[in-house]
Amino acid sequence: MFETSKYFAGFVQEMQTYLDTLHSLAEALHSRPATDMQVRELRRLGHIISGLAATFELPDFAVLGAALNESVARCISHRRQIAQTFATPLSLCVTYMSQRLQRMRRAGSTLEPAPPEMGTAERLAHDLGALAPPLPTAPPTAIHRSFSSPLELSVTLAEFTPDQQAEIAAFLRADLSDSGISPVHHKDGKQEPERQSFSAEVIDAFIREMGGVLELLQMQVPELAKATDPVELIGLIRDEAHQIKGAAATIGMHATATICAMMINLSKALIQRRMPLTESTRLWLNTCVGQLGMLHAQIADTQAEGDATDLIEQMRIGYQRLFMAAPTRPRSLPSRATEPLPRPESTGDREGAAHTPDPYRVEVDVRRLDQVMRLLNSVLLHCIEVKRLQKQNVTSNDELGRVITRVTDLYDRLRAERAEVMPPPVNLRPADASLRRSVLPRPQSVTPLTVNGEQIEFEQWPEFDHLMAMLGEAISDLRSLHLSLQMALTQIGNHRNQHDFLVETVQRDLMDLRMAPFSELVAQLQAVAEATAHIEQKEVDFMVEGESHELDRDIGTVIKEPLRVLVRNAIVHGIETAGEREEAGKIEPARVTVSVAYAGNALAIEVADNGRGVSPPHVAAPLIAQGRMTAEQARTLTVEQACELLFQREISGARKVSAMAGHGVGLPGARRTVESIGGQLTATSVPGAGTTFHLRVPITLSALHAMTARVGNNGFAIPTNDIQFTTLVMPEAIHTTPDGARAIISDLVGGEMDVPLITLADLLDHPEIPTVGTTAIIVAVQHQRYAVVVDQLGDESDMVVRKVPRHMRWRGVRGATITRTGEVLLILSLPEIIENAVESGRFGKRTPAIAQPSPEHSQGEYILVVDDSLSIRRGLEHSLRQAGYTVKLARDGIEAIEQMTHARPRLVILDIEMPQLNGYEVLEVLRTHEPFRDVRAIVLTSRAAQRYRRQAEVLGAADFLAKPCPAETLIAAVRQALVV
Amino acid sequence: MTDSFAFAHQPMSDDDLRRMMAALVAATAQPATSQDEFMHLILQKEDSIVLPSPTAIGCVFFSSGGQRWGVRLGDLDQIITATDRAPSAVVLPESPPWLLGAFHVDLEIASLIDLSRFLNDAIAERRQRDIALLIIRHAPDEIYGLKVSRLSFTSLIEEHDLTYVDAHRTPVEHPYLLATYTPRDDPDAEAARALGLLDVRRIVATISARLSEEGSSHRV
Repeated sequence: MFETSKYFAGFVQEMQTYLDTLHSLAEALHSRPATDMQVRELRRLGHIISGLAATFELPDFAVLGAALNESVARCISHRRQIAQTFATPLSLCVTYMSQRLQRMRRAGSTLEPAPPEMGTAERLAHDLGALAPPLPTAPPTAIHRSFSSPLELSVTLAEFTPDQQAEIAAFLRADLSDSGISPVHHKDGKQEPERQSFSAEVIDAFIREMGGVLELLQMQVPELAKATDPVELIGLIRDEAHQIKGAAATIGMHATATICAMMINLSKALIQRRMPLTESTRLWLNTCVGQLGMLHAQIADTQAEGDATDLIEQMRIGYQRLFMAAPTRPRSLPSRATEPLPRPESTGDREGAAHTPDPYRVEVDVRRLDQVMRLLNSVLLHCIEVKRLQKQNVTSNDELGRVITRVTDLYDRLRAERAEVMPPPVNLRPADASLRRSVLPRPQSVTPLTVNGEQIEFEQWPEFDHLMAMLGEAISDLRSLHLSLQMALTQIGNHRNQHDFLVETVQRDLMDLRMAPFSELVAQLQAVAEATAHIEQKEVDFMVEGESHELDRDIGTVIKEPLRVLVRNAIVHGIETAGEREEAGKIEPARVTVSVAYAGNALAIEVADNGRGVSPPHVAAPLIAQGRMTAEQARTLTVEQACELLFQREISGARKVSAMAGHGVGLPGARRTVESIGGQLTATSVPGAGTTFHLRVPITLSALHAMTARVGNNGFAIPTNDIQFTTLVMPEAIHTTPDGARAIISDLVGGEMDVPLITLADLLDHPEIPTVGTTAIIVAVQHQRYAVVVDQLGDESDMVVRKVPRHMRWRGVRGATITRTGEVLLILSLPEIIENAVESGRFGKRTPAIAQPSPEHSQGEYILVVDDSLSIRRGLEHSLRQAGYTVKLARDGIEAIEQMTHARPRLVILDIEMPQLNGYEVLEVLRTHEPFRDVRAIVLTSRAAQRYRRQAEVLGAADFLAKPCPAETLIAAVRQALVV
Repeated sequence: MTDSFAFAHQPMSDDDLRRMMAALVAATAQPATSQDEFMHLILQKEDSIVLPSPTAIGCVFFSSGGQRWGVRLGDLDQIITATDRAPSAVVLPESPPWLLGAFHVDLEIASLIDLSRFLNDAIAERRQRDIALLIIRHAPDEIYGLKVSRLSFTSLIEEHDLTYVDAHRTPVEHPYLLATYTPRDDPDAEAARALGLLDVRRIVATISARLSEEGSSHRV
């Protein structure tokens, strides 16, 4: 149940803001029709108010919000202006809601509408709805055409080549996963869609919302066939699909959400003209709407989607086919520019003046923000539910405490009873009635009751049996509480999973807000290409491939200028004149191609030309003239070296200095700019065939994909781009040379290599941190590989990068990230740190500690604590961890043996009395099994008698400690055992 | 902040201290409401209350390097006690020994400073179980957490009870000593000895300058 009272103040504040905006819009409508922006705002407000009202259970607000949303949507769909006629009904609605809000504010809580108020709200909603064109009574028949056409459905992945299949898979992963939709689960797979139970009210609200939006879609999609400018209509379709997708994803209607995601992606592709609007596209969109209609009907009937696996698979195949059929669009420049074009510099300047980028402002699609808001709302609901369960657990725990008190009391009374009636030396078995009769005196006050000559025990020992019965009850209560706690824990676990999923989605969505497609840069590049070609009097085809790839807006801003330089450079220096091409026998048109692709965590951009390529003598000429290179050196200059020289400040490939080229600062400056954001810029060339500039930049500066590495108590994040691979380094593989320590490691293909070795602690100049691991990260710095040893490597994940304060921006520190547990991880650029260490001569100064493993710590070793008491296990774990040991836990002997089989511990701390396999039996296993011979064992038991100690010693225990054992004593015993 | 109030030599719980800090900090920004809140806190402790004095300064005393020091509450932004959130700091490359690393304060990255090491106090504190962090924002993006030992007490000190150090006139015992304070009417002889108030803002300014200097050679 949503605690409305708790969030009431926020609700009032938020609602008042919306009402104020609505009021302003209504006022504006009195004087003139709404602008496009005002229309969008009206619709957004209607949507938000209805959602907010549903959450706070205010049906009158919900009705008015929904009416506003729907009415505006219909007007948009029918291209009808929202004119002055809207002003009065809208003002009335605002007045009504303001008055209600005022009353609620006075009351200090939400108030359900009284029947007359509800009547007023409905009348106002009706008035608003009447202003919009009516919906058609029946949807067009084409909408219900399902995907049964053999043309569309007989396509399977098998028809594609393996490369195409991989491309499809990558495309779907990129497109669908970015949409926040779980992958569709196959029937035969083990994965099941995660379903969360939502109340019938929530699902009913979804059905109503989906129904309304679906009606609009059913009108809009058939209109595509006759629309003269379909872009606007496709935009509306995308918005409608977005609206359904958000709600469906939130309540776990995955099939609906997946279809909508596909519709959104297709709409985007159509708007960006990556896809042509063909009959197949329209048919597929129609099919989507038809299938959504069927799903809507199914949900309305059964409150669930049912098994939609086949349906999704069919839709997916159609979707794949559409995209596979989409052509790549070349951008061909005019063969010879006839009209004067502005110089690119001045164009750029003007653009720069007109749109000075503000680094703190980005344009964000408000729908994406709405989506984030909805997800956050779901996160909030999960948090509330977890809080409720926690409260429930507290109650259960209190009850558990009371039951434990009862059991303790019973135990004491039983002991007292036993002490009273039983002489201590006699070891009684309670079930043995005859023994009991022979040993114990019968209570005098009780008359024995016999049945067929047999005494009934509870009559014989009424107090004892009464206590036993009470004990039984207490045990039953304990079981019940245990079950209740277990169920609550399971529920909390489920909510936590959902919460994690939603938080990750929010994080991804928020990051996406910063992303923009590469296509936003294309117009400027094309202008540069056109202008340069015009000035240079060259015929050039300019093509862009992969422009839909997205990158952070900040990165886009930074690489804009380097890209211009590269395009300009390719046309000025790379492409020959028409005469030269003819002379060289090149019949294909001159071409400059910019291709964009994802490369892991980075965006790989190539600017390639099919021109003359890099000529080493040509590059060497200015250097010889400056006396910086001899003729002999120039003769041996390779193409690779010549390409690298292009990025040196003093080199210019231009034969003469012009507005376009010859300054020798373009390429070096471009490289510096790219490197400033952690990117790389290199060039390759084939003389006579062309040159390619390879630009690699991170996709975003706000997030990166990194691996966690630990040294001591310190956690670091290493960007995966910097890691070549990771490997184990055995102490025997380490050898020392005059230049420092080196290690022989295996490479990825099974070969061996000898690489310089250093621990991360030494690299960071913190030698006091002991390194106990043997895992190495292999990093390449200027064609040399280095092995950096860490204690532990964690998982790879996407991390949000936080800027560190100015005084922490040491070389090699890219930023920091904060984990869910609140730990700060420093994001390190290992290549930079290694370079720094090499420059400062710190590299190789010390032999890594790994070469002399400490007696207490070595690879993979840990202490196994085996005890059936949770509190003792936790206590020991805490003490041992505090002392710096790695600890694992086992509840009994069997679990201990299982763990030891998986990874051998250095030491086992054992209790004696345990279920399944007791401590002595575990000691026996250790003693008699060869793999465990070296494992030391300390017995820690409450059985302190000498005979227990002797038995443990016989079985090979290194030490014997009696509970309770102070932490200091335990740690001393552990140290002693490990040293021995 | 000087028209503040406190509980004379009254040992305080961490919780009280936090609430007091919050009220004091907020009092600067919103005097009307926070003063009420603070007065409410005072009334809750009426038995041990010293009535607010316009010339009194709220101070918190702690141990660092085996010595007892005090700082003015008004110089601090926040106090984090180990019972709240034990800071797990990650080391920074090539950092001086007194810079323990980076941690976060309300999701802002901050520097953790070992105050006793920075001050070169004679007694090295090997075990600091009950640590506390004095949080100071030096600049908009520069937050420092000074790690000290357990907080001893807070005190309302009358301005005239303080003897400010004048570097021009008296020999300076400690480079960051702001003033000394001798509790009056205190039967406890040990407690009655002079206590030093540190100029924590100057300490942080020095740390910031030193870090800038240290890092200039290898800063990006």
